[in-house]
Amino acid sequence: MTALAMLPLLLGASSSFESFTLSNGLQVVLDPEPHRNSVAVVAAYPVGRSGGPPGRRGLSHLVEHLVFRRAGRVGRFQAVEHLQDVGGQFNGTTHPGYTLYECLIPPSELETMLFYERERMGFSRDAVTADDLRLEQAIVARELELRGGVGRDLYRARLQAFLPPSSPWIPSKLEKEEVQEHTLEDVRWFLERYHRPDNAILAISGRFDAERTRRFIQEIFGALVAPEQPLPARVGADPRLAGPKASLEVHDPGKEAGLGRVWMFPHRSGRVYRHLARDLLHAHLSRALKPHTERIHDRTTRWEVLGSFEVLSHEVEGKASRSLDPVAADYARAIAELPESIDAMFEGDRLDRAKTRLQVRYLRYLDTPMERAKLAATGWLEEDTMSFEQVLEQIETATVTDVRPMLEHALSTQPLPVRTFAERDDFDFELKGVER
Amino acid sequence: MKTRAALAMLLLSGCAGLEARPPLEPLAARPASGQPEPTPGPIAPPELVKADLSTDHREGSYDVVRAIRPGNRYVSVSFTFPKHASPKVQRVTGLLLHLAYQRLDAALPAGARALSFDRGTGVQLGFVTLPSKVEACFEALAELLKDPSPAFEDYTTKRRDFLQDLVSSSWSTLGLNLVRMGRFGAEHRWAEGAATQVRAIAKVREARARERWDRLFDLSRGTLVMAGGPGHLPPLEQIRSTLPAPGASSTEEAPEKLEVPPARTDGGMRFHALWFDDEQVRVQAYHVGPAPTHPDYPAFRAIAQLLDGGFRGEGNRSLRHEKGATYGVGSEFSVGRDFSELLWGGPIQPEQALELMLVHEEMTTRLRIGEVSQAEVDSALASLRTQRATRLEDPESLVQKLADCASAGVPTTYEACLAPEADGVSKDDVVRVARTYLEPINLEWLFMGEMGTIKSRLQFMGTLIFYKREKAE
Repeated sequence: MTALAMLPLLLGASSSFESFTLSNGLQVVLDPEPHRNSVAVVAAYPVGRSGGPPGRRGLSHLVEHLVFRRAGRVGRFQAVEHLQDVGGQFNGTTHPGYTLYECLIPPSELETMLFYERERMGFSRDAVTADDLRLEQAIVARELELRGGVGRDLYRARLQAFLPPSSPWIPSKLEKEEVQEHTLEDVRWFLERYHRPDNAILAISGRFDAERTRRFIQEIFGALVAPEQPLPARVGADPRLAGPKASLEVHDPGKEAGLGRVWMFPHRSGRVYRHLARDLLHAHLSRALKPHTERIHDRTTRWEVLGSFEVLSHEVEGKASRSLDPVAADYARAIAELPESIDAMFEGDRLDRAKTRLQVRYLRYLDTPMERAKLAATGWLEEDTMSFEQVLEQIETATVTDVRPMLEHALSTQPLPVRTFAERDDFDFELKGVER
Repeated sequence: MKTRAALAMLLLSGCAGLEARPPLEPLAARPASGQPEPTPGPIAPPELVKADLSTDHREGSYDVVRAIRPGNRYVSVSFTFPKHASPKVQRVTGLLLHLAYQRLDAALPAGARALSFDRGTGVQLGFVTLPSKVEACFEALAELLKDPSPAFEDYTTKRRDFLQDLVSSSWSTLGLNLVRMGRFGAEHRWAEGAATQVRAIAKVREARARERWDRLFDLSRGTLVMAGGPGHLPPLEQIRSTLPAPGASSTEEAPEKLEVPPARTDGGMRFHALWFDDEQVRVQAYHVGPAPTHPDYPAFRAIAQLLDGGFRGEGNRSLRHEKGATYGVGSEFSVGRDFSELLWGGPIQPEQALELMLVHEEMTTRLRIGEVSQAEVDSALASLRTQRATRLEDPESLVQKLADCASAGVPTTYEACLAPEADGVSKDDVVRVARTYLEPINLEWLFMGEMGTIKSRLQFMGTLIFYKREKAE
């Protein structure tokens, strides 16, 4: 028996999440872990910064702020201040395709937290005020100023390289200005259409009494009535996705030079196989670039789920005072030859090594309630309902036959010619003070 | 500039103006549920599930701390060594840890990953793995600590790569380097930035690096910390036989003691600034505090918690919630072997930067004149204690916290990890310690970002020091 084959024995019984749906459509996922000192609650709505009503992009982010400020009929900041007083940790995050409200609290606060979450889901529409809106518009503007800059511009450039100009998945360049345009009526409309039990998933992981919690959820969330209006359609994949994709050389002008390339993987068709495919791709490109180690500071892959596909971005960051020009030619060649290199990616024990890397990554989340609850919530949103234990089991049994189609799909189309946007400055780092 | 212009054109294409805003359908009347409002039921606070900690201490050897927590599914192991007293060893610590990490990661079996951390209190080298792999992984770690030769293979290339990485990434630590330089003076070793390290490392040949490895990774200075579920960790006898103790070490130098807070004599306010194009300015107040072993430490930690305040904090209340001038204000607290550091502030619109400074002045004055209640102190510390209990769940967090405790010289107990400062800190302690460490004369201000609006006002108030980047060579 190999070490990987022993995994289910070592992890205990292969558990899966317990789930049920209330009559109003709310989906609930429970993951009781009696040995924890905390419990994590995640409420997820499948509308993110790429969704929302026409002409009102960025509304989901603003709404996330507003319902954090005032959870339904609970007083302004009262919920977050209470959670802070009891040692809780909480956040709201707006992703391209969904929005999460996350909280980690002592088990004794679970029902209070669920009460707040129910308020946020069912009673925010009429609670938001014009003052709240004005102040949160300003705060979101401050946040966007911090998050703007070259990194975000480059991300936008990459998406523009292979999506139609009108695609909602491309972040707006004018996000900050657009946020200021939203009215109270827009916010209420959004809450009416999207913050409703039949458009939400509630995931709980950690120390709690599953039976009592199920009853409590049924009692307080079951009282919410889903609006009669149909749910707005989710933002889907773009029809042009099967077409050619562009390569980009990108650059962070303030610091270091970089090279980058994007691919798309089909989504909702095997989280584990997709992860393994992108790991193998990353490892292959790293081998191709090995002769240039002295010029490369870092190689990174980033990915983001956008509807029914996933964007994988591979970036090479140059070292200070080193030109990336000699690297660029080899990088472009390695990318052009990728479709013929798939066999090489599986040579020897390369798949096993990729499995090990992925396994360790998931292992580190196993004992963390917040990560477990987030996996449950986002998994349900993405129609991938595996628990961590099941993910680890699937890694163990993954074969070349499972992973290869992912790579073939991503690498099958002809890349567009490389476009260069690189311009670099020398990087200086010593500081000397001058009194003025 | 040609390429920048091309990039700008690409970025702007398709987003020349705000999108059209078609009218929305009218809102429907909200349906009433017709059911009574339920209220949350009380849940009794459950008993804390603690890690079962055992510490094995032997004279002339390394300590072993094992934390076994019911239900945990993986294993984390770290050998931690306190910051070395010698500046020569300190300057090359990053390189030595880099060599150690690379070798360990290559030597670990499948199903494991090496981890290394350079913390304020010391360095940590270890791994996370499956329970079935702990023994094989520990053998790999033990082999490296017994014979580091493989880590030094192709030393010159590894050193060159490390130096280039150091230069490439040093910008991220700019803020802290900058205030430390202001606080301690650029010549002080606590304030040494990347440039000094680069020069020191560039000169260190392999034989000298080996000698410094032996001093840094001297087992008799270290503590082995392990965490996992029941039945996951090897017995002590096996640990000691796999990595025998080398006997007492006599090479440790007496640590240099830092006077805290270091005396300032000029008496005026000092502002350290780095000016670059931005829409906001990051304003931070920098305080130096006592080391974790110092009697004043618990009260200083309580002060950090009180100043932070989170969503309730005065900075967030008056400038975020009421004015939308900042995305958030808070504090960062970090612990070193000989002192601790408290940074308070955040990014803000330049027009409100002075208001943020006034909020800090008001908050610290309140503490210094005793306008704080015991209930406020108790509440802040109870919150801190609960935060720790809910976060010390997984093996990696437990090992990290215990390793920090070991390197800082505080007891490696679960209670010590939680928040020993939560017990027995009185309002009077807080006021006394605030008068020592929060005096304006012991304060440095850091500004990074858009300085145009506030430059002249700061010059009117005190000494403004602008920093500029210069080449290392």
